[in-house]
Amino acid sequence: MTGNAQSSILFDGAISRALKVGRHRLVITGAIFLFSLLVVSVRLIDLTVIGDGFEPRFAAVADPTRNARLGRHDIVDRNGLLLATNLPTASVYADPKRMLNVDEAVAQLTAVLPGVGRAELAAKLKSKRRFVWIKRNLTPRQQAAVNRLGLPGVAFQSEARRVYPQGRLFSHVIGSVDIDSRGIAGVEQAFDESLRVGRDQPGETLRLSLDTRFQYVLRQELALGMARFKAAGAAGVILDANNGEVLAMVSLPDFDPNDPRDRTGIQQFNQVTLGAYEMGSTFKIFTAAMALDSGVVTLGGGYDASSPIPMGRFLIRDYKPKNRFLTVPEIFVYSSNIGAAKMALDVGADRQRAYLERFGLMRPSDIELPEVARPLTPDRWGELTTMTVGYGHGIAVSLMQVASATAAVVNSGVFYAPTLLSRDGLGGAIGRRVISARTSEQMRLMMRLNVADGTGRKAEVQGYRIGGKTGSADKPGKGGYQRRALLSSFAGAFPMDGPRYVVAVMFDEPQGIKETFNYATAGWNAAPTTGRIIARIGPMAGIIAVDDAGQEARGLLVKIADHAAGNGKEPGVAF
Amino acid sequence: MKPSSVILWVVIVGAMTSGLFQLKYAVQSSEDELARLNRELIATEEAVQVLHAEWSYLNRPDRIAVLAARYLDLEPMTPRQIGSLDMMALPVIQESQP
Repeated sequence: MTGNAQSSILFDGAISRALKVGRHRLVITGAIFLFSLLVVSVRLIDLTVIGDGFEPRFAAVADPTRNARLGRHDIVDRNGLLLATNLPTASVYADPKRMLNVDEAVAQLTAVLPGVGRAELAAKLKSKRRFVWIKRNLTPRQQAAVNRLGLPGVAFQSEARRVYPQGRLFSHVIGSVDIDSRGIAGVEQAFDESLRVGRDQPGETLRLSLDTRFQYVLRQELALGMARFKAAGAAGVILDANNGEVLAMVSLPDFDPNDPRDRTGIQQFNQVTLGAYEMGSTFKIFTAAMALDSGVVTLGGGYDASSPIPMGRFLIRDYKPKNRFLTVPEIFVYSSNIGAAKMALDVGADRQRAYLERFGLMRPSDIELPEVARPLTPDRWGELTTMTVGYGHGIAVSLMQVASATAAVVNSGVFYAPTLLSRDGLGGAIGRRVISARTSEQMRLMMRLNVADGTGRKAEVQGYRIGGKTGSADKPGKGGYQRRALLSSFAGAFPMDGPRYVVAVMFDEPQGIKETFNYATAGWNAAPTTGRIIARIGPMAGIIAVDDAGQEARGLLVKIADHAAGNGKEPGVAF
Repeated sequence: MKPSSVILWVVIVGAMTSGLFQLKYAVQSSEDELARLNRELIATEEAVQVLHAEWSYLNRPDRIAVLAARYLDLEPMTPRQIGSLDMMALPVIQESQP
């Protein structure tokens, strides 16, 4: 449209105005279209040329769906061996409304699915509900069988099932989950939140401090001992002495976590953490440690143990009385109740309580398990209590607490909270000092002496410098203590010239047998069992045996005499 | 408008349309491929999970102990068998005199 053409055609009045309006409308419409196209092309350029990485996001969707599907993270041991995992399985359910012949379906289903009750299933299928489970977690074979029936209204739902490939080996520590994959015991319950997979949470495997090899040795030797000494139960724990990591924890009898029916009360009970027991003489480790550390007595000092102490209607007496003055190492090695009671009395009730507090024996253990015992401590802490606690009666603690307190006594005096999590890469453990390095060294000498030539003699392993203390406590029963029901324990560590592992073992009601000359005390069952465990885990840990043909045992007495004279070597360089 | 430019535009529009269709189908088949790969990935991951569990199951210490006793001439290590390099007597190398 040139100016020429415009001037040649002239309209007037209404027509001209109508044209003008039409032209305006065209311009406006054109502008709108142009703008929209512009928006579209800008977006197109944005998507194709500039791009902002949308594509990888689609690919990544695969991972979260997998986690959401499987529902729960894996648990592995410190070496990465799988201890608990989720496997995909199918569960069969029914919509009763869509079923044609309920009775026939019940007959067919119960024929291929063992463990499904006929009457129970019929009742379920005749209900008014639109969704009933028939059986959860089928085996592939059962799934195929149900599929072959071709029943209308019956369908599968893919689910995940928790599987424990190591079976009974870790029953109490790992615990188990219920049918809906919620943790109901052990690590599964303690770490339930972090094991559960959130919709947008990245998967993370839970790595524990446990070592399958140590666990196996511990369980096997405990089972062997339990059968041999006809004990009602057995429990044991292996700790890393220098950071509190739990390397193995076994409580027998145990259960198969893969079989939810295989559980009675006693099987489910974790005797290591949930059982609080009067430990007996094993407690003398702590009494001696607090006496030496507070300075009320030195290694050269001693107490008169020539006659039992009358205390109200009680009589504190020794199991094998020596009837004479005993030095501190002698009290420890002969396990004298009289000596320990007098030592405790010298420490005093307040200080005794403070030390026990520091050793973590007065409050529940810090171990990350839901099954943790609250120690049973005396309400009134009088003189009698002070004395009985001195040799491990009147106070009940768990084996776990004894093990971690023993670790603190031998590792130069630093208490580490016991943990089931691998401390690698967590920047090491933070402990708190509870006794001096010098006291710890003296305790190591006495504990070593006790195994080299004392009540713990049967724990000796040629070449390994094992140290420890036995304890045999009468179990409390109706109206007092039972003479025949013992709880025997051994708290040991090795190698004593630089402890790496603490091993604590306990037998519930062991019986005297012919090989032990009918003795049922710890020196005859818990001590040798600990020795056998150490003989097997030592080589695994690469601990080098020391061959000194009895030189060391004699040297021990010299060193103890040195300490007694008050000129022991610098702390930290014992042996 | 000249006929030549009309033809040009028709050709351009035609080319773009067919190009767009090509692209659309290419994207669609890529998406199908992605979905297939994802399914495969999930199936493989499930298989890996099962194999991991089986590996752990087959590595049960009691089973290994039985197998080792049956097929190997080895016995558990004793404390005596562990040593360090400096416990070993090394051959003395005598320097030859010139």
